[in-house]
Amino acid sequence: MSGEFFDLVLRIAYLEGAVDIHGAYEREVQTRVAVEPVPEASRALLIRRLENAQSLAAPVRDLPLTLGAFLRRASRTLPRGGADLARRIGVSRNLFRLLEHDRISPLKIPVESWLRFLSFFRLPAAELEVMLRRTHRLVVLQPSYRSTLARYSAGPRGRRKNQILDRAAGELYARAELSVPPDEQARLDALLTSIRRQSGCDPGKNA
Amino acid sequence: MAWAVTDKRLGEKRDVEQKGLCQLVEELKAGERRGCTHLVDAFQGRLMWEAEHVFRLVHEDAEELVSDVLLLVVQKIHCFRFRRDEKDFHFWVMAIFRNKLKDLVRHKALTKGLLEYFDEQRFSDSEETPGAEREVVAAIVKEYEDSIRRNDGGGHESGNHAALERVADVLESMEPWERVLLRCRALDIPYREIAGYTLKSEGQLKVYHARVTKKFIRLYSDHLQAKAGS
Repeated sequence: MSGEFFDLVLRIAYLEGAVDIHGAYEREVQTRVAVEPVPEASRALLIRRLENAQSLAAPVRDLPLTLGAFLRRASRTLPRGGADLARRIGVSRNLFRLLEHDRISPLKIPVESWLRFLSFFRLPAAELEVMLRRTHRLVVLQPSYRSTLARYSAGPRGRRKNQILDRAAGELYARAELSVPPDEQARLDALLTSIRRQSGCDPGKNA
Repeated sequence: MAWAVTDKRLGEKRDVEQKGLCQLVEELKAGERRGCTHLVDAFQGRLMWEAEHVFRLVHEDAEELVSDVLLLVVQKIHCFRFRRDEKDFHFWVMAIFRNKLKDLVRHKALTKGLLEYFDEQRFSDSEETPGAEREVVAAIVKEYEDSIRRNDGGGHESGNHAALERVADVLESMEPWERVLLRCRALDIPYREIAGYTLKSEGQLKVYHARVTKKFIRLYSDHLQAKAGS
């Protein structure tokens, strides 16, 4: 068949970037039904090779621990800081300040604002979900460690100690795998489901 | 037994598709072992198909290439960020695939020779290629190989291949729908899809493809002659 041999040249030109088809090929690959059947042995060998590589690679996560940490970092990079960010997300300045300091539950913020947040930062819903879960847990469990801290002296030396403990406890609660009360968990799950569904990253949508 | 394995694998693949690429990336970033299984189920067969059926690599090369691509995905997953949606990950994997494939083609150009590699494996048995087309393709490939050798000797990344730039120039001199047809068909994009880009019917494109290829060969030969004359 004429043309097959000639296509070799165009393929090389595509690989070298001399011709561009604006992502049409990549889009086509994603939808192509034809898939090469892979022998089980080859698949198993590749999985083993990847797992070995994975165990050697050091996990580096630079996703901030909580939503507050994320917003504080983002505010620093914007010219008008938090005010600009609050306007873009569609929350009041006061609410934004509370969010920045992890003093308010994500449940208090409407889904529309979270969708704006996702689209503004171009974050995947999964990454937002991780931060929202941690922040919610932190906010719900804050009163319990606050009462513990209240037992410390409020004097000048104690205040510094409290600040350190406050930071340490905040980080501890955000990192720890602690369960929140079932009703709080149910409300959070409902919010996350709405965000996933409306942001188009709902795993059940493709089923 | 074989069917049972196939069914199980198909089930796993569907599982990955349902959960989406967001979750796959999360698993890989978190260092979960099942992420590797899901990555292989989602991409190994797909990329093998592209390497063997679109880029005409021999099976062993295709297997090694895909293995290297997925290995790099696992090693570099922490550099990956979603910018728009979960398709970003697919495009990222495809960019790695393209770069690895380019390295392989350059390696073949330096060692065995591209025409020898592709001709022996794929074209000599069943395909009847017109002499003029063969001559033009051989000239382009030879010039490309020479530029790779020169750049390899100089020890720097090659970016300007005169032969490929000439191919791009000749394509630019053609009608827009003609160059879209040639570019897309070379990468096995179905006529149905190309019809959407060119506003020509699938049937028309099938008929015109061979003619447009001949037109390109003629234009390229003219281009070369004009250059030699000047």
